[in-house]
Amino acid sequence: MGLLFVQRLEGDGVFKCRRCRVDAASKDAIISRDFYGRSGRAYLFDHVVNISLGPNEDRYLITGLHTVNDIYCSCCQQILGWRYEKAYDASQKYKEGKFILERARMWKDS
Amino acid sequence: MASTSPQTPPRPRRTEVGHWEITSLPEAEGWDSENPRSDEHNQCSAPSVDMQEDDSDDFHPTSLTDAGLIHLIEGCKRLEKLTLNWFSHISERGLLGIANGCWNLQSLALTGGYVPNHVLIALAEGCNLKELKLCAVEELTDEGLVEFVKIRGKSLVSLDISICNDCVTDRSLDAIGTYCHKLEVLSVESKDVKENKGLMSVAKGCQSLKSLKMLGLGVGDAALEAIGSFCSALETLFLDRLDKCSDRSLFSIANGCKQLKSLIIKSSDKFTDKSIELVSRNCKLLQHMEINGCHKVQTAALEHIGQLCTNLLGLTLSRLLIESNAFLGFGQRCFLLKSIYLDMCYEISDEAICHIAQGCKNLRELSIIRCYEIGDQAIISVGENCKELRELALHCLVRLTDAGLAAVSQCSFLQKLVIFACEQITDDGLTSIIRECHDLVHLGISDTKKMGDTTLAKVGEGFPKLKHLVMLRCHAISDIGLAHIARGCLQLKVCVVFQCSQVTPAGLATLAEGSSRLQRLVVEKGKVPEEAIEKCRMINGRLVILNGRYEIDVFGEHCEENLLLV
Repeated sequence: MGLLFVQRLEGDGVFKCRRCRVDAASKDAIISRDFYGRSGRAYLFDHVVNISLGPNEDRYLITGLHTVNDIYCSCCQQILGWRYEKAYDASQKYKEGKFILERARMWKDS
Repeated sequence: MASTSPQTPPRPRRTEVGHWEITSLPEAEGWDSENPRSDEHNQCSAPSVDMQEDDSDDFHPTSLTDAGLIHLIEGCKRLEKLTLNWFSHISERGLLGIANGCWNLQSLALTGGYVPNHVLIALAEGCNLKELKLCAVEELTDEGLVEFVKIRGKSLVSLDISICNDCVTDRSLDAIGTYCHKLEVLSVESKDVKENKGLMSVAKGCQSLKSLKMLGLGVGDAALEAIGSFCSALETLFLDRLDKCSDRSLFSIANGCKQLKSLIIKSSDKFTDKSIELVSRNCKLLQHMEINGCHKVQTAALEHIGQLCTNLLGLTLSRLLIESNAFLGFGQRCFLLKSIYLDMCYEISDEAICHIAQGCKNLRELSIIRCYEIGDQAIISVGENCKELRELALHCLVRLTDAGLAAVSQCSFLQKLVIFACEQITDDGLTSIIRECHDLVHLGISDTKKMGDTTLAKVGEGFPKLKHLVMLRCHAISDIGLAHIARGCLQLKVCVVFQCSQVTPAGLATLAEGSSRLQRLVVEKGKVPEEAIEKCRMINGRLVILNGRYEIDVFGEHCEENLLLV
């Protein structure tokens, strides 16, 4: 069995998996704090690390039909949020390829 | 809460800054007389305070701080219920203030902040708590929880803990079983429970348990067997992602928990038709059943439910492989059924809904979500048979046409109608319903280019009692349609106009001027410029415009409530 390669993020304000404290995203990568997901507040990130992607799923969000992948911490498999694979409404295209991390699932290292 | 001088008690005020909301104490301006809280309390004693704040990096001048919290506590000596959401700017000083000043506090809910062990212990000693809820709190470990239950266990009635690392463990469950003999409600979500003995201790020690909710615990059949053996008072059982539990668990519940009224099982690969049969046979008081994502629960299970659950009032079936003939004769025995919710049951066709409609003539609520085979025949049967229907939700029924929908006009008591993403419905679709269903208070439409201003004109004329109107991505709706609503729906309380591309701020302003009862107008961010928001606020002092991005599954639980209450 191989070693699990864990990426570490530089700087302050790193969001980590609440469960196992592995780095997930830097606060500099936040695009918006305005989102709300299943468990409450959620942030939209440009770039996250140490995650694995679930399968494509069509989900009808309030903002419309999207194809998303749930994302899991690559170390402890805790679900952290999701990634937008595709948005079908033109106004939502900006989210494609970006990631949602649910605030309740994150621990912030100040 | 803005800082006040230490001499003045906190003035009740409702403030909104961006996405923060500090819900004030009673007697604030603008409390709706329908709000049940407004009559109950006087200025200095607020039984309940609910606070929500941002956790962004920068300290915002209106962040709730220790000082603010302590002022609040000093002003509300009889505080009985406190909820703090995302309170990361509050340190242990503030929380210890609660412990020192709120002996009457009975219910405490903390989400998203720091709660070290010794603080929870102080809260146990200082507050006569009956209910505790913890979600995503930091620094707390099972040690703190164990000490908490040792001190407070004798009065604790309800405990709800989720997303807190190392809190709910076998050890702390064991302590709950040892000390919380009055516990009636237990809800735990944890990945730290790996064995059976903790839950077995709960079973033996908390024999008054009425409601048990478990998500993701690593417990097995032996633990659920203990629950079945000892918790004969159990009325509600909710199991989600208990990967080690098989039919054996449910057999034991069926044999031991004869008071069971509500059973919810989700995301299990191991529960099969057999255990559903035994529960249906043995638990005669069963009123609600929900089966979600249990792939081995199939057609036979439904046949058993239909035959055996004579007291069933509500049934939710989601992501199951059941066929249409599962509902043959449904309702002959469980004719009390009032509420049916079907979601992503791809194999069922019009025939199934016809069986249900013919059998369950008392049906009050029906939701058919993403069952893509359903079309006109099904809805016509509902219209012909279910005369008592009050709520109907149809989502993603791509085969449904105006002709099918028109049959719903026969349900003259209809109060709530939701038609989301039924792409064939046009402006003619609602005509007969508008003519016949005068009691409608809630209407939702979404994802349509065919229902537009003509529909809204008819709604404005025909639904004077309308209180909630939800429109998502209705690209044929414009300011003209909103003007019709403003003129005709004078009881409107909540309006959601989300991503309707032809609507402009002027149209929203007209809406705001229309109904004096309008309390909430939900639009997407950036739709309304700041100046317009101010104008809306001045027109109607209680008007709130919320610009949140709600990435909630629109067919998920509580979506509608979320939309209406955000």
